[in-house]
Amino acid sequence: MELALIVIAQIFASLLGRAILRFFFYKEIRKFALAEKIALYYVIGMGLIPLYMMLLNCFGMKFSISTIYLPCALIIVFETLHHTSRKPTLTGAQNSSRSRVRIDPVNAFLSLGIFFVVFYSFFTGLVKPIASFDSVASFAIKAKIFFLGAGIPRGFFENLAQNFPHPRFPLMIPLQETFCFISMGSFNDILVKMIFPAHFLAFAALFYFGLKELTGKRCALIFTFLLCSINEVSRFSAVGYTDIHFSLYLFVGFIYWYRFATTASGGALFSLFIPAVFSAFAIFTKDTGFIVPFLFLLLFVLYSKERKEGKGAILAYVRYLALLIFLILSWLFVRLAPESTHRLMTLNALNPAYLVSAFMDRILPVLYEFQVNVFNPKRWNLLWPIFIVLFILNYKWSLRTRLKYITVFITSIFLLYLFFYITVEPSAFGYGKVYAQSLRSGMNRHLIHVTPFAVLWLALIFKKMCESKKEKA
Amino acid sequence: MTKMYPKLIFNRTTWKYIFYLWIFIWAFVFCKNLFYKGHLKEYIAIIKRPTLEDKRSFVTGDRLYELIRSAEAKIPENATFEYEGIEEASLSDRRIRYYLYPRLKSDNADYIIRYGQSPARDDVLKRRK
Repeated sequence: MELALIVIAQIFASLLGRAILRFFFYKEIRKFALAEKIALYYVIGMGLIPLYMMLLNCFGMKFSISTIYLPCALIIVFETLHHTSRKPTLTGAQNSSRSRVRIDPVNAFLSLGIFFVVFYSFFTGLVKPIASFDSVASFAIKAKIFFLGAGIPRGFFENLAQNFPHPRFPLMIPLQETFCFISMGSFNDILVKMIFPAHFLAFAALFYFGLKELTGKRCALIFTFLLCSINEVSRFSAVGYTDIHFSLYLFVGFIYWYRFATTASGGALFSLFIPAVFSAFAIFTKDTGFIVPFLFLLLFVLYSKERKEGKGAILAYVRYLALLIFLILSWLFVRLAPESTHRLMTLNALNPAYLVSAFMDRILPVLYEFQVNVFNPKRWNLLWPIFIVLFILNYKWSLRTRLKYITVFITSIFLLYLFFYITVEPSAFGYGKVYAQSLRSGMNRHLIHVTPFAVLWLALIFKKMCESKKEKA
Repeated sequence: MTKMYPKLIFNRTTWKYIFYLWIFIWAFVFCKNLFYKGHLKEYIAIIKRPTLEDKRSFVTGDRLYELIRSAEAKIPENATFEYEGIEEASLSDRRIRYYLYPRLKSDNADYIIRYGQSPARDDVLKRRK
């Protein structure tokens, strides 16, 4: 029974995502493949419901089936009625007559590989309850508190949360879990883990379709398979951590903007809406998400230089920021409150003398842990050695092509994380941990955030190689 | 004007072999984790435990989980606890707090959970105040 209820909850979230997207962006959405639409609906629905729960908390309302489901159901019903009143139009995909489907053995092998990894993720996620350190200590305990209290208790961040690690850590995962517990009507910490491989499946789908438009089907399948088969990625897809969620939000926000910037696909507003919504999700998932608006600022600056649209780009970025702030306003009040004791960095980070001294002290441990991580085929297969060599060799070339957006994005993430490692207070990593130990446990998860971009970059490079061979021929 | 192409070091055939090597590494690591590192045995052991409680007991450790169950029965929901024999900020510490909530850990608490040197010495004691 609980299994059926949690599946229904996720379908409901997908219907909410569908309602929002279809209402505002019907023309853009109808061109997408069905699997891409479902993945997008699911991720948006499961992201908006926690933000909505945060809003309920601001108004002192309890979390219950009626307060969560009823308003969302009204939105779904309203949009469905609105949609049925639309004049029916056939898209190109619907218009085409069904052609015979030829099964290509290579594509079949790659697809099977992807499905196998996703299936294994569901299996490992659902075979045992929440057990890993952060998943118990930082997320599931908060979900239990919110479920048992039917809401975020008054004074939670100032008092109760201080009993647990990271008291003001963003609440996307805990609130998604709370939504599942409320839907099931019980504290079932095995079935709640379903949301993690489900997000991984959506990630694989959105990565594939994002890449397919840029590189074609075969290349998209190959590199989606490569991404899913990276051991560290598939391992974290089922343990109940935030990193796959964060990677997903970061990547999807980027790829839809990138497709618009390089191929003009999707409308301008849609290509602002998706980055803004997913940036909000990223900020509400991890504190690291606060770098995302800065990353998009760089992209907008590059884009405006390329298109020579200064004013247009500024207006677009202001719209992006406005929507982003609107979505996470309720969380910003909590996270940036003066009494928030969980500081990531000290003001020393702005002191040049401190920066130089911290850099000299910490750069060697950072580089050491970096090479321990990246030259480890058990974790990352051959990704990082290949990526680092090709990235260095083709850095200047990529800056002269459309790859410059991805190149700048990846470079900026690495530099921001380096700045974080140099300036962060050791206590931010956990209680009483030695800096180097903390670095090791944190860095492999931070690399997961960059991994889809590295794979995307490689896919586009290899696609360019294939095109150049054809041209030479 | 000549177009610039990316430098890819190897030719297409070599990259194909590198792709096959990738698949080999993936399969090797997967099988090693499953068979050599004991993941398969762990999965079979968990699947054999039919209920949610049994599975929680498996991941927590049967002895510690039995102690937690005992503490849940003896400690009222509005009382506080502390423990002996468990390292502060360890995974066991986090699990105890997770399972025993709404009971909270506190210094000078109402109850003491003793995780003794042997199972016979595990106990939940009310502090005399």
